[in-house]
Amino acid sequence: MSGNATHPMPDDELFYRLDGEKEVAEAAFSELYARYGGRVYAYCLRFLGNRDEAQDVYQETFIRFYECAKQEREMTNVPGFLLKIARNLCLNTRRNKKRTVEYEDYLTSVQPSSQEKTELLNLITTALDMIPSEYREVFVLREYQGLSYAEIAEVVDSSLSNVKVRIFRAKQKIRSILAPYIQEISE
Amino acid sequence: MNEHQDYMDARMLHAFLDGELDSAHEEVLFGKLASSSDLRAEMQDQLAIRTAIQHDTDAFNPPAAATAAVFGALGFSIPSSAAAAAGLSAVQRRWITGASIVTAMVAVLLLYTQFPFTAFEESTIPERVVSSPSTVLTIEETPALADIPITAPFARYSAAPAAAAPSAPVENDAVMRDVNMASLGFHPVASLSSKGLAAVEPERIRERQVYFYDLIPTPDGVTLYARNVALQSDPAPEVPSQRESWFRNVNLGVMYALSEHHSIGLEAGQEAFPQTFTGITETGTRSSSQLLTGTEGGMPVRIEQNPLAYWATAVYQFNGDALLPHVHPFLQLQVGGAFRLGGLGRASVGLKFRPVERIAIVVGAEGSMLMYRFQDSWFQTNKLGMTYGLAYEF
Repeated sequence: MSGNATHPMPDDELFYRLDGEKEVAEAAFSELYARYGGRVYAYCLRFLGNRDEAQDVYQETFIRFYECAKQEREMTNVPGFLLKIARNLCLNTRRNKKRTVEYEDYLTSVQPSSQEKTELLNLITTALDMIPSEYREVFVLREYQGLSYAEIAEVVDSSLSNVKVRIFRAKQKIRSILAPYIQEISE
Repeated sequence: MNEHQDYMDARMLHAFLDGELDSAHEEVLFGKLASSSDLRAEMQDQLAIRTAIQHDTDAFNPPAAATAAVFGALGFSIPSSAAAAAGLSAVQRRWITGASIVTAMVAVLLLYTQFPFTAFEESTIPERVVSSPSTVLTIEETPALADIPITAPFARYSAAPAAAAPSAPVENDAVMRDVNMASLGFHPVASLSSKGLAAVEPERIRERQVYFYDLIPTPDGVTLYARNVALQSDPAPEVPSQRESWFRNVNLGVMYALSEHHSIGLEAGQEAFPQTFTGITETGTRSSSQLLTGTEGGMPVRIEQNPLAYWATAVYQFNGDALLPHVHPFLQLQVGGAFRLGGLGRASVGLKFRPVERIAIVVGAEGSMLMYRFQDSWFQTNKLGMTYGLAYEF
């Protein structure tokens, strides 16, 4: 039987196919990209808060992922692996970035795009820029990726208890920033 | 103490919202929620934040340019699913494809059932006859023609047996002309009984009247129309048009009726044609991805634009027999081009409703395809939707 819609090919099988012939690899890569491209980009964009940087990291994530597939033979968690690559690249980007946020950069990061239609969503993205990156990261992994606390702990290489606290504080901080606006919007 | 309790309650709430709270603590939390308005307010705020994030489409849709860069750097072609992520959803694409097929099937069915394939074998009326005023046929002349026997060549093109038409010398120019037309494949109005034209219905005879002004272009048979189109595009417009125009999506056309069923004409309009195509920059600039992988050459780019362009096409229209009183189906095919973009084909199928003489209301489904070329590759923009308008028939 050929592959069918009711039983899509598992991630690990697709991952192993990346080391196959070009056509096979291309088809497998396209499928994995379709499955996780959005999640990886959401992580990059909301973690970095800058579109240009997010796009660069996003592209490099998938290219490195493909190159790693040529070497890695064991794969149990493709999305986790992708997020780890993206995280390392994001951290490198932030480390290399000049810490002084210029006015123009600030505008770039907080200006809502045409697709960010809701007022609250605009405020959330702004609030994300205002909280520490260790909080922002776990918040994004939880709210944008839907990862469990244990999965987040694995991705960020931290303890479960530490992750729980960071997520809680991240949410509290974002709420404290947004509370006046949420109240105003709801009124 | 209260502050610590509030902190613990809030942590319980967050764990619950994240699906991480065990059932033993759920009961406790529900009790707290029932008694604490602050806790309920926090839950509402957190749920509002979560709901907003779920609608963060900007974050969950990688830019098409990034997708093109990834696949280009790896030497892969851009998958349609990735293109879909930047444009229409898979459901929308399937809908457009399915609707296109259905529209095409309806058009073919209409053509098959309505097109008078046998018309050239059985029709008895030359619709347009070039003649001089001296050979005008009128009903008043018909009695004189009634006794004229049908010649053999005439009968050869008739549905009746040739034997039914007695041979006789040709005595009338008009009949002679019919014979000549018959030899060219046209068929006279006469029924092929031995009674000749007397058996023909007066209404049918009136149709074969030939006047002087048939020799020169006149408004007779000409239809002017204006219609609007509401079409969904694939690819979907990623960027707005750089300019707006009152003329946008308005089509103006003129048709000339060749016969009862067939018309030709010209149509022009102005429309936005969303375009998404890929290519390689010629500057030699290398992206960070290419630097990483050592890929040579220009940077793969994906270009999205939504130009507002004038277009013009030649039109063929087939008008079917009435389905209901005053309601006729039609099929329209168009071939032409969009100014500075590429070749354009359109097809529409629908209904014409004539509530009063000379005025027709047109409603139908329409599909169009724009083909254009960029860097030796062909791309296309498909549209599907509905059209509606008014026509004035002279």
